[in-house]
Amino acid sequence: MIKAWAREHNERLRHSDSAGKTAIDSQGIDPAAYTVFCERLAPLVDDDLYYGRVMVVDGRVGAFSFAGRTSRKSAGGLYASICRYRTRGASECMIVDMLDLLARQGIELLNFGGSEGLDMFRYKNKWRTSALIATQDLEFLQQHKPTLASR
Amino acid sequence: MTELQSVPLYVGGLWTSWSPGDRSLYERFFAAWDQWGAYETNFAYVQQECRDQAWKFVSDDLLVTACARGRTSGFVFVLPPTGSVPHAVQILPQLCAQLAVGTGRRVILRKLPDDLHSALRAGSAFIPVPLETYKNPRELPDDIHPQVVAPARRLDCFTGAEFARRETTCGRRIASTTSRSGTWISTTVRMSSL
Repeated sequence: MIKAWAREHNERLRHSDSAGKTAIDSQGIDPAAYTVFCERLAPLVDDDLYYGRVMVVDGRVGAFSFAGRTSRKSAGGLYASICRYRTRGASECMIVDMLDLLARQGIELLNFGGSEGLDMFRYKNKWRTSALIATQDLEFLQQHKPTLASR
Repeated sequence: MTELQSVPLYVGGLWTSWSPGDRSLYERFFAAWDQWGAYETNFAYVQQECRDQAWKFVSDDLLVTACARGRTSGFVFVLPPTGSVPHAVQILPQLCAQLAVGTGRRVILRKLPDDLHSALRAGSAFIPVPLETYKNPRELPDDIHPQVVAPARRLDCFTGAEFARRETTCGRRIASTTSRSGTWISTTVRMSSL
């Protein structure tokens, strides 16, 4: 399901590539970023630190989501929520289900993570945003000569 | 860009190899240094980021993770440290220097919170990263737009043009949606039960 979704997503990127000349096969969604949840993290699902749900439609997996507790003080993070494109409404359904599940486990706030694009940012904001958290990146200067840390 | 190493990168010094078996170490640090609201303080996030190759630095009061993705990437990324901010500020330049030497790649600190970002910028070892630095979209920061925090609450209904949530007569929650081909019914099950 994940590989099929990634194929669909990358195909959309290819069609929406306005220049029409960029080879994006190696630049689109990396399925490994999501198969890792099935291969490594699914066995950890305990509805305490790790939460994972799949949606079965007509007997086939059509979507999955994965969240985790990020603080004992009632906060969590949503690390994956993907669905096949033809399964309309599945994205909302998965998030509603996950919010329900987390609320029942005493988690009051869910961090949806940041966004690379404005559309995704807008989508995440439709869940009644209560806070925005900005982070920043920094690059290490290669010519910098660090002094030895002594601890 | 030429293909970088097709064999695992070696990073020595203060770094040791990361493995999925480090989960209990991470869970211990996340519990001891509870950072409310921080997206990165769950092992699921770390595992996802470290799926290719990764390293960790661990001391009594600090846990730092670095990961490399793909053979053609020119970067190695350092995830937000967990633990003492003063210790992180002190030791990150040395850790980054070792990463740069070991991988031959540019070293990027990712998702820095305000306090750590300000402290590191006060020194001379780190500079901001323009988005144009990244040639491959897979390397773009997740947080070009800020993290969104929303209340987790039980929703008895969700209104929308194409979506409705309802209870069946037997009380089992289902979701339904109408598409051009008609109405389908879905069920959600716990991932680990498959």
